[in-house]
Amino acid sequence: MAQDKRDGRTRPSGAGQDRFEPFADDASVRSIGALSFENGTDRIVLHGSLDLTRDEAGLAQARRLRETLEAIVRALEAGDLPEAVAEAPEPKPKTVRNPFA
Amino acid sequence: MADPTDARGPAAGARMLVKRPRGLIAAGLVLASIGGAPASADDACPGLFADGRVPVLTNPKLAVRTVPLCFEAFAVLHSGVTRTPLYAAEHLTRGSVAEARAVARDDSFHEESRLPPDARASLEDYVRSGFDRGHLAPAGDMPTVSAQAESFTLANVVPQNRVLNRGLWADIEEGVRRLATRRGSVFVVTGAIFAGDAVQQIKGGVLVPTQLFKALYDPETGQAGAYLAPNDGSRDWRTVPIDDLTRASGIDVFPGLPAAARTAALTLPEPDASAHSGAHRPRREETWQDWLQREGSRVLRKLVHDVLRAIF
Repeated sequence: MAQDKRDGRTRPSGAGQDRFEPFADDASVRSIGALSFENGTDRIVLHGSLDLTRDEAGLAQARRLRETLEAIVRALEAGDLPEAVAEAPEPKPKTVRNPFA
Repeated sequence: MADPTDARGPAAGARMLVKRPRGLIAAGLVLASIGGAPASADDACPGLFADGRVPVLTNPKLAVRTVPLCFEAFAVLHSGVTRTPLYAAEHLTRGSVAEARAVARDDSFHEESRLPPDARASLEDYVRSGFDRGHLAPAGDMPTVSAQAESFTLANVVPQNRVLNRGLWADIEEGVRRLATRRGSVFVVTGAIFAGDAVQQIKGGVLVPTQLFKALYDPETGQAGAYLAPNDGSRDWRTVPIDDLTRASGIDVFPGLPAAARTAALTLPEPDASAHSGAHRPRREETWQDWLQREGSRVLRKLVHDVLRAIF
């Protein structure tokens, strides 16, 4: 019932679409411990940190890390890559009057 | 319409008649709650606020087009003027922090479907904006998988300087979790400040806060204080008493706080980059000098070894 789109640009916000597929969207985030992989169509950003401990939990996390990095490398190898993606924000932020001043 | 489990007969028809108007009433209520200023019953979650009292907007301009939203483990006041939250409130406990440490999964940033499209941010607004999507109530505080998923709503997100989000702010968030673990229970209000005559705006009309704050209240001791940091990469943070925060933000985050506790800031831990980690703390403390010495001698040994190999 709810109109979940604005200008038809975005996908519905419903749950269940959270699978982390490298470079497939600008929304998904994979967390491993306090380390997160923020997906993007032209860059994946890593935040935070992670202790890989020498125990069962550490092994599970290390495997998850490897699986995530392998998927990223596979996605990069499969693509026709430009030399570099754009660095500068587009468009630049505008300066507007502060509505609360 | 065709429901195979639906029993045929007069009763089935009657049920349909009852259902329809109920749907209309529900839709009407949703519209009314979005249009009107006061919170509906669905948007009250007193357990997340200190003494059950929601922050008071002392700058009346902030109240324009705001909508309160409750989530499982946090509540926000969202502004349709900035298309961001003005603040997010949480109650952290020793138990909730311990549970949050175990949450590991995939999530997705998403638009807030409870807000009308002309009042909320879209995913597109943040893409290539040059800013991070900064959580006010951090994903790392969320005690359950479902609460963590909810924390990725854009109704809990502001455009945040990348260096701040990944550095100082992450350190402050980790410090607050440790404080909650030590003290047992802490109420937290994290918010955005839009100061000065002009502010920055990214795509879709989303405004960029000039500063961020994180205010803490310890219900056991009655003490409170706040971190205040500019939304840039400077790490130029300070701690302030609640009265100073109210003046800077136009929001009285803890209206139930007695006068004496408003002017004296609770001593807050120094944001510490080395405090980061997942579930486990480092086994022993290693100083910078230790590390430098160890790494230095390792590099030197390797160099000597390589030189000797090259000669012989």
